[in-house]
Amino acid sequence: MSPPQSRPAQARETTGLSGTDQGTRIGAVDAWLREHTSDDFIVQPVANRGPAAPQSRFRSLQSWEGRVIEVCKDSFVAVLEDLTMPGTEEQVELDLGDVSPDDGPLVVPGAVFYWSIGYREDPSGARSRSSELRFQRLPRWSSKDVSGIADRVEALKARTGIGR
Amino acid sequence: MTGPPAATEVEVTLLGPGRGESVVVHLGGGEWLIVDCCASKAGGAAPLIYLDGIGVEPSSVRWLVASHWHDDHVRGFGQLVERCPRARVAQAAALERDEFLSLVVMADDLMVDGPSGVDEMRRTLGALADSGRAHPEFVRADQRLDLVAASADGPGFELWALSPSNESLAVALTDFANSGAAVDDSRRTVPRPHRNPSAVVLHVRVGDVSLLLGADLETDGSNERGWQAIVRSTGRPTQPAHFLKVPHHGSANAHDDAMWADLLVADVHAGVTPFRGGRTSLPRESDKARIAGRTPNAWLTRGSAVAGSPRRPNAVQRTLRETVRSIDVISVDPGRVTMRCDAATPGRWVVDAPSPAERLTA
Repeated sequence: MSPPQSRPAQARETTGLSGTDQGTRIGAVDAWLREHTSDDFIVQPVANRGPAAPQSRFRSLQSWEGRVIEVCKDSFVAVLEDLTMPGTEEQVELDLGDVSPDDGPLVVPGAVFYWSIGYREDPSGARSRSSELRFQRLPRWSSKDVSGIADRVEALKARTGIGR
Repeated sequence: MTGPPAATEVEVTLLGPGRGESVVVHLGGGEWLIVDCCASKAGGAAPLIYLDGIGVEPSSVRWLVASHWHDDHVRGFGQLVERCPRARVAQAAALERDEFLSLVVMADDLMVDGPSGVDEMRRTLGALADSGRAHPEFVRADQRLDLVAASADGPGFELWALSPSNESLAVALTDFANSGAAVDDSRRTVPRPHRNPSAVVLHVRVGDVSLLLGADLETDGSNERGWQAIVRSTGRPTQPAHFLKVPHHGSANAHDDAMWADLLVADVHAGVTPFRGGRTSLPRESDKARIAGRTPNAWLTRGSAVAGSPRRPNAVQRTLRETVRSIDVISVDPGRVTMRCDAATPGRWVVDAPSPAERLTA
């Protein structure tokens, strides 16, 4: 499996919810936010830090790879593979409000995400606990992918003798 | 019960839930049937670990049946096929159709790996082809799969599929078609299905003892599908069963009064395996009470489908408490319930149900 793409993550810190680095949200994202977030979900404005602004660092204590199995009105259920302690499988129910607004439309059964809990440290040395979710952006099925399925089914049947 | 059963004994062992569930049956004369598969906490195929523990070789397995393709029933099934060299394999007839085989080939490289069970079906087909064995028997309702006459070697047995009905197969094909890939959709796993229309229910007769292995078959209000299709069938074996693998983890939507009245002896011995998936946890307390009200001889393989929390750093524990609605470990070693009786004295079961198994009480 390919590694997660590097992109801003929604973080829920003990001091509150941080926003994403993307200043503009349109269409589907706004609609998703209205549908799935509670009244106490606040999207904070993001300051223009400028190119030389020092970055905060995230130090992971535990991380999981998750697969969504059920999406509810304001939460979702996923099976987690523990990347820190391989071999442990867990099932978790998380708030949809903890998903980045940009990632919201990606939360569908079968979607893959990465979840880390750790410390976020800013350049001044301040540290806070943080939970960060990133949904994997996967390639779309092309017409070539889909049209090739029938041929591959025939090849499978020939190999196994099914239908003969 | 530390050794294998005698040649004249029938044995039923329920395992689950580990990562899935399984039923292991001694058909007499040293021949074995394994229905479905679950993985141990360490990842091994639990039915083979159990058989190894009582001194039975994988070469003694005559039949492997995947009751349906969901991941909570076929985790490790491909491993069973690889390690049981003479076993014949049976699956529902729907799984030979292009609608399902499309999912199988997509799972090869067009889908993201995930909890669907399709990968195990792909591994199963590959293992059979690679070892020169025939493809699975694709079975449907009222089909006899095997018949061995009584002899000096054993009491003889019959193996029947009681489902899926033709109407159930049609529903399953529609579900398969809706689970496939569409141009411009993002790649994903095969979604975990919400219903089990093509589940294979088995009737097993060993000597004078009959077993009804209920898979995950549900009722859905139709006389042509689910349990009503079986109850109303004129083509099935009519001997009432002395053991029931309770269907679909004891859920209310798999309960059928006529099934209990017409297909089972009174006070039937029964086994239930729990399930935890999404927000669903089975059996519910009401399910346990309903089953215990039907028979005093029902056992649950594990009191809970989940295990305790693993050790984590304090900072992680505190953040989890603040962040998640629930989190449960689901990779556990399966619980076990084993029942044995002589094939000539039906109903005289000896039950071995070590903790965490528990008896259901009204």
